[in-house]
Amino acid sequence: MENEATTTTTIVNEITPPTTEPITTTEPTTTTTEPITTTTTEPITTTTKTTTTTTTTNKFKIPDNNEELIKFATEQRFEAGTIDYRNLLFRLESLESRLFKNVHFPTIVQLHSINVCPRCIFRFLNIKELSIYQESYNTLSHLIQFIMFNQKQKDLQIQHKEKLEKQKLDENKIEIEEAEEKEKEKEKEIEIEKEKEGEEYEILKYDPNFNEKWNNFVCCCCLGILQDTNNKELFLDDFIVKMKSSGYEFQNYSLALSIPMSAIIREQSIWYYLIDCFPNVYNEKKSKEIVEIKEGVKWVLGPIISRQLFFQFKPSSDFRGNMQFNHEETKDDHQFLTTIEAGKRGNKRQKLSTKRIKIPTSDSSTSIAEILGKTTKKEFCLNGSVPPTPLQTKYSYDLSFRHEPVFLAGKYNKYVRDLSQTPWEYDDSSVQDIICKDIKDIFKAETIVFTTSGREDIDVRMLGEGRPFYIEIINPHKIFFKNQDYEKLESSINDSTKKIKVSNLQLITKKETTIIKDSGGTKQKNYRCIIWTSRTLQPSDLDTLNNLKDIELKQNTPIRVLHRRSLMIRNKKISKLQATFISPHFFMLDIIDAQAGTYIKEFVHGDLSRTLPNIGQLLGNCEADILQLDVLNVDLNFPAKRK
Amino acid sequence: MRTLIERYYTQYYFIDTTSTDANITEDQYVNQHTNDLAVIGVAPSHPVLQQEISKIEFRENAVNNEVSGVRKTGGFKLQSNTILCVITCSNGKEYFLRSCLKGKLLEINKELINNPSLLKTNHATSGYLAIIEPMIKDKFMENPGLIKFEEYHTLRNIPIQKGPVFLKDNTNGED
Repeated sequence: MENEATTTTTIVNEITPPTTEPITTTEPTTTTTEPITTTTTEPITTTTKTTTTTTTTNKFKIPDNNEELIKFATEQRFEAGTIDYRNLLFRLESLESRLFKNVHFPTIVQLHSINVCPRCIFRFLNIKELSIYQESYNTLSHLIQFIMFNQKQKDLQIQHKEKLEKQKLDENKIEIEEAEEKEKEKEKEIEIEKEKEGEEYEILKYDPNFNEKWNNFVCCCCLGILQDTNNKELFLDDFIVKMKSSGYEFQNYSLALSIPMSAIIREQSIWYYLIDCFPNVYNEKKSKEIVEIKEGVKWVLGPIISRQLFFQFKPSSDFRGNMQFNHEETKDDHQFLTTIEAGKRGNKRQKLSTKRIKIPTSDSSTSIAEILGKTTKKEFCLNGSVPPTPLQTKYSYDLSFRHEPVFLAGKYNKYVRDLSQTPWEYDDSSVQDIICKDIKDIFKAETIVFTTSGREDIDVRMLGEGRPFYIEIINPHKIFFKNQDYEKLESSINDSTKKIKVSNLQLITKKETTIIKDSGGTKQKNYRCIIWTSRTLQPSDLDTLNNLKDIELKQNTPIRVLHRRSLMIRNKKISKLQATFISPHFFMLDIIDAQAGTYIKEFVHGDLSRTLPNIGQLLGNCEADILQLDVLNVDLNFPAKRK
Repeated sequence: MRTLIERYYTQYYFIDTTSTDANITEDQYVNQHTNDLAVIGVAPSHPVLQQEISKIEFRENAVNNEVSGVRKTGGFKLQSNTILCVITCSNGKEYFLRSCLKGKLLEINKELINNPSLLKTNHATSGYLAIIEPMIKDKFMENPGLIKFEEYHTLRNIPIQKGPVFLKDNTNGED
């Protein structure tokens, strides 16, 4: 304890708190004398300081957050000599020395003066060090102050030296050279030097309890978005609760941000401002190098989300939070751009009266961004506001969620001849209806889409292993299922009806859906049908059919489907036929390996001879009609048997 | 394939009203499919069926008729009395076959050009004349000149013949 106390006191002695106006004073003597009178241990002096600073800099009041601001201001106080006090200073020093050695300091001052928040200042300085964005707003406010303070101190020191030099103008030249070298040296060295030369300007240490400008401004660039990102009260707590209570199941997440257009325009405005202020440092080319607001927000939020919620970030995650930022106050910021554009178009139209010109009438962000890209600096400065106008209010935001579709696949059998595959107006039930009845609720989804590998007619049964299908489940809230869940779902469907049966239910990937979708042209099917003939047949008559191999069909689009298919001749192939005699007018025919898309019914009855050859024609001098048709097998082994 | 026609189509007849001779009635059939498309051809009462046909000649724009896509764009626009083809018989007699419906021509039966006798042998099926997408689909009888199946058979005094009717199988069991 004793050691602790002694170290503290030594530090207190070292740190000399600055006055409220150390920068404006030109006389170095006043700055050095005043701090001695104020002691950091006295709480009364510190509180008075706070009040004076807030009153002087409180140009823009933010009515909504006044209470928050006062809280923030009080939290920002540091008791001199505490560990927090030392830690802060240490942190500021290390951040400054690590990241701000080669930056253009006047930019910081300039941006700060027009109410640009610390993170946005970093953006304009093109600082891509993630860790600095992740610092608290409190620390960052101090950091900006700290950097500016130190810089001003250095400037004052130089001024002081110049003054001394003038006085010593007649003295030895070597001395001057030494002094110049010293200017460039670090603070500590200067301090040592200070001890040597009594007349040297005294460098002041930054006091965190003094803050020239409190937090009571809204960043005129990011509209407060980046400014508040890890502020617990103003943003973070609410955001974390929203993220936590999304109501979705997911493996990992991603965030998509949509920033108001005004923020982009303001960013451009600040670039033009910087070019005007420092033409030697900035030019229009350089304005491309910037960290985007979106990026900054993600850098800050990412680690917090993984730390507090244990969510794993994945750039192209299936689960996505959409943050839509809005800012009512600046919603018309872009209008001067559209006016410029309209003016240009007016001139062009007179010149090119015959050519049709695309008119970007919409206020969509893409069209505005396009116009912004075409607008010159001169036009912008003339019509827009450079620098951007100060703001009274902050952004608002909506957070919504969406999960990419998941795909439930399986196979189905149909055992009746009065159930269509998909719903249509004359029927109250269908294969689709029966299978999909509870899917939407089970997955807590928005909508579902039923897709099958081919289809059979209402009066055709689907036997054998079944027909592959999948259900695209759009925006599901629930996605984690176990084998027993699928079994339960299967039996609940199968117990509800005798008309159909489902099997092999399982989730498949989006990529695997193409196996079902694209199998159309390749897969083969076996059919069985009962055929009636106008002519009486002998069993031997069927040999003509059984002897055929690789029958090539020319099918003109059947009249049956001509209303929804284009008219053309389709070439199809059937490998083999197996006819079984029943009675003189009836026989059973198995159609083996028919190419996908073969119209079997038309192959039997001929469709007014529009399908050639057909069964009647093959038997010769005969009319044939199909009485019953079953699909025996769909040659597509997907999805695989569930383990 | 009478069974097929009876199963899939509603049969109508386009009656020859201009005829002065009761024995020469140039009637045509109009079969409306359940999907509303219509197949037209010559009715049993048409005199051409009693003659020997030597040539069937379609109009040029019927022969060149081409429709494209699901919407069947480009089909020849028809009035109900648009002449689609001329049948020349061996005795020099000519008969004009009409479209029977206001609508769009989708397809003519080109097989008739090569094999004119098909019209006589299979007039109800593969000897059809053309496939038309009618303009009036829902209230089909509003197409002028049409009468219903039974009415036609009474009018022309033809006995109704139907093909075998098969029971529908709606059972769950195997055959």
